[in-house]
Amino acid sequence: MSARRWLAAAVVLASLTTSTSSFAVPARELLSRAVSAEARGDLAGSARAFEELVAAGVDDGDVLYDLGTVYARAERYGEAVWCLERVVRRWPFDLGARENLRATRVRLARRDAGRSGRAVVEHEPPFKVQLGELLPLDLSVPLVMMAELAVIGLWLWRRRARSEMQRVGTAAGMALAAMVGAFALTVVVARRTSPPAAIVLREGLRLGQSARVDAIPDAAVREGERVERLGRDGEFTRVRTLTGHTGWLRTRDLGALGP
Amino acid sequence: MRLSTATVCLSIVAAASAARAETRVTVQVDPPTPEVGQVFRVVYTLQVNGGGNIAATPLELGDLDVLSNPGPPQMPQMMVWGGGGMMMFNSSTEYAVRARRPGRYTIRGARAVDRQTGRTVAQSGPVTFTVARAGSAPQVQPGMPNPMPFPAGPPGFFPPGMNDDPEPEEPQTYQGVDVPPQGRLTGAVADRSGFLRVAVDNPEPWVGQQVIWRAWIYVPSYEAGCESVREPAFDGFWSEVLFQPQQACAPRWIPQRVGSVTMTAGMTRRVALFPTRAGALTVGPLTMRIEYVEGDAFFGRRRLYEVTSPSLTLTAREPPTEGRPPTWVPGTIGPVTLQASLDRDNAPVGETVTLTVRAQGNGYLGSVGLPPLPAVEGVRVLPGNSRSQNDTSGEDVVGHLTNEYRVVADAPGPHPLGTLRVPWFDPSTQRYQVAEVVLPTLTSTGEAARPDADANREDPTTTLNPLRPSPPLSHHRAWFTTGPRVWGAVLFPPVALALYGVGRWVALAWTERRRARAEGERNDPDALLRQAKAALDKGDTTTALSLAGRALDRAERAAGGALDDVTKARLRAARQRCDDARFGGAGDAAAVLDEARSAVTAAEASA
Repeated sequence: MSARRWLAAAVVLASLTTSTSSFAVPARELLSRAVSAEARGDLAGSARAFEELVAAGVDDGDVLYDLGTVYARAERYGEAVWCLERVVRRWPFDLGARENLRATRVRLARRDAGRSGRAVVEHEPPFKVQLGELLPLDLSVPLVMMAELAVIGLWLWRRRARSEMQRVGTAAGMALAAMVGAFALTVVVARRTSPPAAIVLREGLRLGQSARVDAIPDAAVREGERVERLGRDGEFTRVRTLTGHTGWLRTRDLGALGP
Repeated sequence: MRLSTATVCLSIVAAASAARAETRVTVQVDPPTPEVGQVFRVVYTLQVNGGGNIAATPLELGDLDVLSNPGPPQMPQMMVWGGGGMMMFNSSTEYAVRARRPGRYTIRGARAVDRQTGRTVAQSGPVTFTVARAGSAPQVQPGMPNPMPFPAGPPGFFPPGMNDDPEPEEPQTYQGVDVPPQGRLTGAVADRSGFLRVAVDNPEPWVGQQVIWRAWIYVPSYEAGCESVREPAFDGFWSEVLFQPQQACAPRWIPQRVGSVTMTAGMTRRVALFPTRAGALTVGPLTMRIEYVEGDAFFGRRRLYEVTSPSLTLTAREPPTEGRPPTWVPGTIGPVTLQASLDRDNAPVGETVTLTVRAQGNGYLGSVGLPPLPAVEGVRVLPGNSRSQNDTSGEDVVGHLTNEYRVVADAPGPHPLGTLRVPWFDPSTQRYQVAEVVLPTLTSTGEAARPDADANREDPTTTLNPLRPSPPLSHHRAWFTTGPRVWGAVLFPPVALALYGVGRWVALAWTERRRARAEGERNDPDALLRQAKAALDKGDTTTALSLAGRALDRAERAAGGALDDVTKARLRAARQRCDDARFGGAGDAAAVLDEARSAVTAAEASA
């Protein structure tokens, strides 16, 4: 049997092997299932379908928005806040996601108020964190680069300026570009130097005094609360809340917010 | 170690006769037959009745290892009172010594001499004793030192019982929480000058179980003053201070034997500790500054030392998982008792009543808290105030936790609030038990609460936007996710500009250099003549003659005023011929060129 025939046989065998394993559902099919499940009120099924989409790598902003919205409708507020926060971090100008995030926090606060008589809608993060989240890095870094190039270009042009108006114009342009660049650079620095954050996904959790299953419980953390990640030890992560309490939580109870 | 017990006994006897000095010197070995390697005592006593300036001479201890400072007993230099008064002084010194080999040993040199005359006024004969092999001699513990003829008492002018019938005292046994543990000296590094000792009652507690930590000061005196330098660290523990003296260093001082040395111990700290996690937990050292008088109030010396206790490591254990109730809160160590009460048993629907739950347990109960109340249909239970208080009056710390809850009934009728169960761990049986209390029943009257009329209206603050049915279904890619990418991009334009500036500067410098070189070549007479020769070879006579003329001019200009008249005339003649040949066509260009070259050469030579 020639080498070419052996190769062909191997290819056929490989394709048969893969074809007998589980079929991968196309992304469109998963999306269709998710939307239709949500429409008929099967929020759990809709969430599962969206989770499969995200697990398959289809995690653009709109998919996360949909998943967060379904979580919010299913009263899984911690996970909803986590998904919507990621959308807003990637693109702060997504007004729909911001509105849903706000609505989710209000729903969560009302639920807590109904149970315990008091609730916190949201703790404001430190100013540096807020500044760093004004723009995503994929926007602020190119803005810095463009501002730098604008300043350089205008400076070179100013050297060749023949009239006073040209000189004044280029100087004004340089100043404006420098301001925009400084602002964008401030956002970049604030974002890079802010500690990594996470969202508490579940309710009824308390910070542990050590990274152990039977740790003495300490301060309580709210579902949907934002925390800073300080370190990790096995399946536990050390966190600090915005109110200053530190302790350990299971890593699986936290949703990390990316850079 | 040496225990210098220079005790002085003062006795005044009214007598009509004149005072007469009487001196005696004794040496005793205790025990009389020590073993090889055993630390035993040699008691050197000097007794002076009357007066005199007497001093004792040092002992000759031979081959014995002396573990203490071998100084003889000291006597004060005092004059005898006149008029019938007689004074008696008694001073002794203990030497801690040890023999390395068995055999017979002799101690010599016990004498009392008059300081003024140097005359020996009393002496003791050599004392010979036998040191037995290890394990062969009968075990005889060294007895208590008794340098005084009177019973020991607090320092003072007259020892107690001096005028009483001296009966032997019953050995006093001390009881109380401030008595140090008997037996082997643990938790301390013994030092005859004084040391700190620490101890715990349970070195392997359960997490949340009470452990009592105590600290004592040991001093070679009746009492001491102390000052804290550094308090111990209780990392990993929750602590409750049970005793810390404010004015006196210790409530009382208890005699203690430390090896062969008599010291007194006073408890200075007592703290209840509760481990908050399992594993090895260390109680840090306590450092104190102690002060005491070595000797008696008259002739003693004031000593000041800084002492530090060793660290103590406890091993806290996790209660077993077998049989552990799912609602057990880690750290709940029992026994736990519960009580519950309502401020009102009857209330209209919608009104708030207060349910008070009181729990009593160990001192850590306030930190761990209680499980939540059971949910009850038709009743809303909201958390209220919580307060805890610890009672430290007894041996154990008792924690009292009071939780208040606000209870609101939404429907009329009786509402049993259920049973509150608090699992706790029993260290004595190593099993879990459950404390229970049946919560009271709230009876509500009136009509059921109506739902809020506005509740069905959509609240815009909680309205969620609909899904986006057609997302692009792409993978999100973020480019600037790492530090090098971010800072590399930010720094790229200025770095590129800087590199461009450097490159441009280099290029300009190179161009300038070439221009200067070309400029130099253009003005150099020899270069001009070479160019002229090259032009002549090409047949360009006019250019050749023009260049030759310029070379002659440059040569004359370069020489300045250094040319002589002959050379100047030669240069002018050559230039004239160049001009004639160039403009008039007279003469051979090559010859004119040669003449110009020789004129230039002559000019350069003259310069």
